[in-house]
Amino acid sequence: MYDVSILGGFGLLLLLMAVYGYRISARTAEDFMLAGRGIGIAVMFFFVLFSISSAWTFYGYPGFLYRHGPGFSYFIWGCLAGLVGMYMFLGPRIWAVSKLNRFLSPVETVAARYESKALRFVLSMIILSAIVPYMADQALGVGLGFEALTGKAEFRIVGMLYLSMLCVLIVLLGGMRLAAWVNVVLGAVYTVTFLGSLVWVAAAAFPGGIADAAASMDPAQLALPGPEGKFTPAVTSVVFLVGLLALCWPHVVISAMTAQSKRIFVWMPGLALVAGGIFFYTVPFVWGVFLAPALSGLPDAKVLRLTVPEEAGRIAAEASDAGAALSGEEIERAAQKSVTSSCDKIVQRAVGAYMPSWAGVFVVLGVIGAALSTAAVQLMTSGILVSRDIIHGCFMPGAGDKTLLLITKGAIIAIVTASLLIAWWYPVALAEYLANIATPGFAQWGPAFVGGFVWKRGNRYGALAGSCAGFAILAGCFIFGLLPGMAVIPALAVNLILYVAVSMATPSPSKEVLRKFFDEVDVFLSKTA
Amino acid sequence: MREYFRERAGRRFIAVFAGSVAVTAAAPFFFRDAPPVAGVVPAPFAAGLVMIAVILPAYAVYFRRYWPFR
Repeated sequence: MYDVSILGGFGLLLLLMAVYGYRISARTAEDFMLAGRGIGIAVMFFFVLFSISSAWTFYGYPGFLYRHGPGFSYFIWGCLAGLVGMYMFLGPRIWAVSKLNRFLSPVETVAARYESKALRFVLSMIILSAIVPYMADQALGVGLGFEALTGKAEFRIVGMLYLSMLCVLIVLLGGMRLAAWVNVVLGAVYTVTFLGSLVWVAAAAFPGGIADAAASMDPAQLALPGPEGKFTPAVTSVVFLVGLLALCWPHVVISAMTAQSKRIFVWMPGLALVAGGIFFYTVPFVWGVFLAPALSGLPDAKVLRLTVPEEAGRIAAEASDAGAALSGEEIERAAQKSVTSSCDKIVQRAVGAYMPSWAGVFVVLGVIGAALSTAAVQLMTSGILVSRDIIHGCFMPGAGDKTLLLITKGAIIAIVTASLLIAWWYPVALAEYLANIATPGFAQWGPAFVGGFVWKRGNRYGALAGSCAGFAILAGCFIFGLLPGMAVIPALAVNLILYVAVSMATPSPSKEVLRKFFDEVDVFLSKTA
Repeated sequence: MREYFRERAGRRFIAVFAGSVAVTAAAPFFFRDAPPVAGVVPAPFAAGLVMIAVILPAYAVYFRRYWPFR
């Protein structure tokens, strides 16, 4: 009852914020979708930091580090370099061109650069196919939090529904402005609970806290390739390159379009490097690399480490006792699933073992904050892609603001339903949703997006050929189980080669486009304050 | 990035940024079995900190003195 009232009160507080956001919004498409292009540096920083720091950061990242060692930290370094590069080199241009031409979505901007409705449809579909599973990651994360808090597997779906309903209400009522403001509040809850639980659990288990936990580690656990031998040098480098593709995450790109002024692009890279890279992302790293393994290594460990061979042995013995005949492959799959789920819940398990029972629900609030802050922005971005780019851009070009808002809201409900179904149907490790599904998918619009702003010769034929081929390769590898975790490399290489080669072999973009996307932008950026 | 290439300072900054990212990406081949730095900081984490330590001052100088959109 105590847990239910805390979770209910938290949900109510967020709903009140959503209602307030609805009352102060201007109810125009620009205000709903891009917060009236009025986000200042303080809100922008938290908006971006917490829209990229999700349930994945709270559960998935420490869980994956706990299972595979420090090699996966390379994904975060790659993401950081990608995000910083986006804000340094591309952000000012996309901000300026969308402000000058009143573009409301990143895909609309890129499609206008290439003068192609077909590209607008293709890129929207590619991004949607990657963003919906990413949202499923958030629902699954909160579901796992509820499951670990209650100790009952059936509460996973309750957590998933709780997150999805809150997310829909916040986005429907408040749009992008409220998503940004709620991110600041949720981010504060998230940071306090995440850092607080780290310090609390370390102090409860080790007399000298985190320093003792780190000192108790076997140096082999802190080196590559990690306990299961996964992080070979090649895999670690690929993971970095996949992280680098964060420069084309649509929910990050759209944040650049909400900026109040170009000065934001001066401050964001520095803030990201210092506050994000050095401080914020060190918390999950310490959780996953030092504290959680040290807890499992204690003589009277309350948080046990499951390994695939041991779990496979247990499952085989149970099946044998029950008279069921399982193949080796089925046993291996079940053991992998069990170990994955156990590692994804390592933070919550440690909290449950070392913190008082009343504190567990506050840690789940942190996970909800983490998941909601990301899911709300992703949901907003997906709704814009469906309404602005697919429906308005391709099928109903004459639709007014009112119709556009209505379609966006309908799309939001449909997208949440789809993400819930994915989370239920495909519960892989949280970390894998981001690194192996969402980021490789987002990367397939990368050459068209980046090339469109830095290369005058890039044209619609190159952009269409590259993005379609890249996505086809990625989808083929996913469906047939080829190159797990690595498929993004050939897909992106083919995408890039085709983009350049086909652009070179076909006519240049029109002078009108070059003037609008290069000359006018240069003048605007050089003059405006 | 065209505007960054126009000035010498811009070209230098891009070289520092791209160079440090490329070196970090290739670093796992060199520290494959390296022990933790100072006995406790894992090599992959230390490599990322070095990348930040290179980019951050270059960024601070470049954006303070040469940012093309001021």
